[in-house]
Amino acid sequence: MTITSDSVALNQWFPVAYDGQVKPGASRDTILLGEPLTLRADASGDLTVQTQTGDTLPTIRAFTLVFTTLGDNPRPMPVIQEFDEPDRRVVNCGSVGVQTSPCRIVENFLDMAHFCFVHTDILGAVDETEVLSYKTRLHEDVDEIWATDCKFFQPAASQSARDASAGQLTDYIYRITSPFSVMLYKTAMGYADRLDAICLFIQPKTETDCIAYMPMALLDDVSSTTSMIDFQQTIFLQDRIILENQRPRLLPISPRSEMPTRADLSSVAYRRWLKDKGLRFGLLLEDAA
Amino acid sequence: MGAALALDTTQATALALSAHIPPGDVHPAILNGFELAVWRDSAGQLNLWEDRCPHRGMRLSFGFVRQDRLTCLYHGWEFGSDSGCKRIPAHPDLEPPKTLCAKPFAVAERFGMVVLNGAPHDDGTWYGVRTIFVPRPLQDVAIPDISETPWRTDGPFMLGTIDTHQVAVALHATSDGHSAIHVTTTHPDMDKRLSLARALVDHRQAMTQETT
Amino acid sequence: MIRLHNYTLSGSCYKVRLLLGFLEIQHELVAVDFFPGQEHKSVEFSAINPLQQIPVLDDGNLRLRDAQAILAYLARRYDTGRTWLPDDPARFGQVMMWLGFAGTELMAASAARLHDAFGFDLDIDRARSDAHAAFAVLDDHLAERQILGQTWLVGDTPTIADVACFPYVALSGDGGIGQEHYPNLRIWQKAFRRLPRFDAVSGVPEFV
Repeated sequence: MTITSDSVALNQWFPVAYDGQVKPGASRDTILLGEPLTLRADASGDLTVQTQTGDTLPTIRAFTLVFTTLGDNPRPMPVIQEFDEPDRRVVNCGSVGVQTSPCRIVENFLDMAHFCFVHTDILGAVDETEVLSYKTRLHEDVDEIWATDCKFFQPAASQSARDASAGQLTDYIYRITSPFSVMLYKTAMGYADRLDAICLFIQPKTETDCIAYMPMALLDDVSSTTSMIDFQQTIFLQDRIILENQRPRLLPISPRSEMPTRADLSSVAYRRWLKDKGLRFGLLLEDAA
Repeated sequence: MGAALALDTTQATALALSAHIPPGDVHPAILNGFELAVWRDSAGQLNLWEDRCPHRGMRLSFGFVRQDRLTCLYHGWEFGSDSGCKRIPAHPDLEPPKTLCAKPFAVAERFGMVVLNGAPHDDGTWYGVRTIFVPRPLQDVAIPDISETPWRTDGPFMLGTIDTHQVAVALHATSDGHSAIHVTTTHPDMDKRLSLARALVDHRQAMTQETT
Repeated sequence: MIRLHNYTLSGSCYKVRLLLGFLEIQHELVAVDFFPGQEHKSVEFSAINPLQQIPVLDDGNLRLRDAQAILAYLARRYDTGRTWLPDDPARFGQVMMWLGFAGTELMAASAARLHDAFGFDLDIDRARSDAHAAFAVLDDHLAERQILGQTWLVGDTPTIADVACFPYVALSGDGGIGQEHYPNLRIWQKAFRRLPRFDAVSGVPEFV
């Protein structure tokens, strides 16, 4: 395995561990973009990240994760203020390995049309399958794609909703915060004007082998942390069987290789944005059909 | 990486036992690394498609059959026997354009097997015995010694005899140097088929041990 | 009330939940943060099960560990029809044989899944090849059963042998173990998923 030469991919911050994953005094080997790395925790649990040649990489601790970069000029970390709001429950759901392209994982996270079939009776119901029209917009100041005005009927939109109600029309806002990270805001149970924040950060070990991290900043005074993690892991492992069985594993961005509909507006915007950036890592550039 | 594999559709190849594809079910098959979905509608009609939904690439063999349609597990797109998409649940009022379709391949049943590019043929009653998979490339696969008469070749099949009944064997290459051996018979006796199935397990054990 | 110390994504806990569902037994789930919290290795949980494993079942004053033992207990205690664990000595023996298989050989598929999905550090090639060897044994058995016109591992109806073997077969894709080479295993799983009161879990599709 060799490190990628894709400068777009190299110049990103990537998660390499979640808080507490490497115990104080211990070390752990991992891989980022084909480059083997060693994570070492000091006595207080702070991590240093080194390459095989002994170079120490920069680190940032944010959103319950430790990030590093292999680039000289990385894209800035996203600003997600919800993690700083003191009345929120910040939950680290661990990490999950997924054998597919990081871009397939981001695209699935943006998708509402699969809720009824993959997350049946939780995030969707088979008799309420319609994806109403929504908007996407490139925010040039932060170079993020946002999808807004998203609404979907959900039988049990979250752990707190599962305990409380028989379903609701949930509002969603999606933010593509980098080529390899995405987040959503959704209706929080019992709050009219504030939204739950759920993130997905991806560590691509190779083009088709990734580790996904899902930190959340939720408005929920009721559910146990264990049940909130359980909910999110249940959802993500339902997605995982899809993600590992999409063919090809690399995301094809030739317009003819896969056929979108109006519900895929955000996926189409994401693919175009990746292409405009000149990203190659994780993508199938030629026509796969 | 990611280079599209092509499927050789010029010759007939047995891919599965007919008995292994019951009505209302979809199953995967791999031919030379190419992933296929084999399914029957609830009336029993057989279909062989590329194992990939045209929408977002999900393997259709993970989907499910309702009446005469195969539904993709990912977004619930429903495809009919003509391979065209009939319904997109995200847009319930939309009539899907004709260009939205799965990729079909010619398929027929012969000697109790599902055959890519096969010609339809009335063979009478055949029973499934077994498909065994061996870690050998096709050219190194030994034909199991189960016929009482010399094998006779008929297209991709080898036909032999057991107790005056017929037995058929066909092979196909799956992936990673593995091959499948399909065996069917017209022998109506259950115990005979059971002993044939056991002989095939012994055959697989012998071939696996030689390889490792 | 029966209490099951449970982690939703555990195949071994899933076995027990399946049988509780089939037998329509009222119960309460006690969530254990197996991952990432490793709560099963805590001092508190060690008092519940010194082997530091889930599931654990409490029924009144009785506390049981080991998924297979729990299945056998629930079937004996609550299955009034006595089909899930047959009384007939030969069938009882066969069911116990497959329970043993589910708790040992088949656990290689669980190991592969823990490696791939949750990053457990283990010999993944070994886990996958052991799982394939176990799947071949099960597929061979089911091939014979299907020639005989039978659907289930033992007898004419589903038993706890089917319940014990189903989860880690059905979840094998999570550990990178494909089922293309096991046609009889695939047919059996579809029949299992069509049973009344069957409940899916992440990694096993809802629709069949």
